[in-house]
Amino acid sequence: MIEIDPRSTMPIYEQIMQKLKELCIKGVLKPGDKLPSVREMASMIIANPNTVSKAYKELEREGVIETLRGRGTFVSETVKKTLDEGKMKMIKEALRQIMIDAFYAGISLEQMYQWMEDMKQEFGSDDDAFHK
Amino acid sequence: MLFINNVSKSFGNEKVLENLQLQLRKGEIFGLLGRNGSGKTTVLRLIQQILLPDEGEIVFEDKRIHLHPEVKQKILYVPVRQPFYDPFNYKQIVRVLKNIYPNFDVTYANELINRYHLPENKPFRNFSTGMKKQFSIILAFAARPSIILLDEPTDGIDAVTRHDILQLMVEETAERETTMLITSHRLEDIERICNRIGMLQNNTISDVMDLDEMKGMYSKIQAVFEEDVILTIREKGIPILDHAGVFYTMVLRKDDQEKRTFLKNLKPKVWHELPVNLEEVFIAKFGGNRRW
Repeated sequence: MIEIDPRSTMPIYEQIMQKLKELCIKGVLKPGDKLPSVREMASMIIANPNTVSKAYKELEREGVIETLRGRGTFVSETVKKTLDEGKMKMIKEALRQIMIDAFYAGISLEQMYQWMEDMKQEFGSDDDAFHK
Repeated sequence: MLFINNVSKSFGNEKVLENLQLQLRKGEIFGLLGRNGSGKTTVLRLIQQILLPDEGEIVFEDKRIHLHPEVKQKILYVPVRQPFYDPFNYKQIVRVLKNIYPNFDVTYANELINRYHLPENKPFRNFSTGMKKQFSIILAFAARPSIILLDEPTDGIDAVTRHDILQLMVEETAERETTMLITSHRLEDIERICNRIGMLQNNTISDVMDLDEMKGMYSKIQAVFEEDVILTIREKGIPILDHAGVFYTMVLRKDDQEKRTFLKNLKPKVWHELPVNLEEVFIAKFGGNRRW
């Protein structure tokens, strides 16, 4: 379910965060679903438990998951849809790169819009993060 | 929990370690990196007191280990080879270890030996390389030490056994907060399971850092210089990972403004900054003195 690439230039805790968020967006993980414990996750993906714990803490801070004492870690019922400003800037920057590449590859803006529509369908249209 | 304070060690006239400083924290997996012959194994042997330091001291939980030999029960060293296990089978080795390590957990050892289908009645010398490693590591964990020193635990074994060994190590730290100090030339394994690393070079440990931070500390620079500047760059001590024609790939610390300005002044036609992985930092760090 989650694969990490130790040779990647992205820190492992960020890889874990990204993969879990992806599973949430795709609806594989739903609000209220229980996540593996730090120990189980570390053993499953073979990563340092401290690293997994760091990823969980960050995700909790971002409101994606919540830990209930003695019960475990769950996907948050109210996954915070609000993105902080830093994140917005980052995504805008990433989009800028893609636009430049697309421009040189001769891809039309209409084509780009179409792809975005398709991806929205793929992630599930009931996700209101896309309507803000 | 373990402090190495200003430790120096020479063999004859050859200085191996000088004023080495290192602190290990509870429940961490620390990766000690270095070229062959840089003294990694010597560090492990000093902690286990197979060797005694010429100068300095090693302190475990506020006890100077050379004055308290009993702390050796808490620190276990798994060398690359274990020749003294050779003539014995599993049961015989367990009998010996039980006497040395009073906390030795036979149930746990039995369970893992069964889980990985390791032979119980064959003498150790007839095991394959991978089996020997796995077997030694299982016995080390079963002795319930606080610190385990693993010398190349995953080098020279197949992918399946490697997976099992790494998993065992991760579970051990997760469940019992065992501290591990490992050496390895398999950088992807280090990247996978270590939270901190240190580089052993020029008789001492430098660049102790969180692996996550490392990726943010260095940049890989891809640049195009129309003039031949390879000698100029080399003289400046900037590590070049790759050079072909006008294309240069270099590694820079992000905070090294001086070298950055120096490179920019060479008027690169193209300048790309990319993230690094451990292997690139390793080559940059240790390949620096090489004649290319």
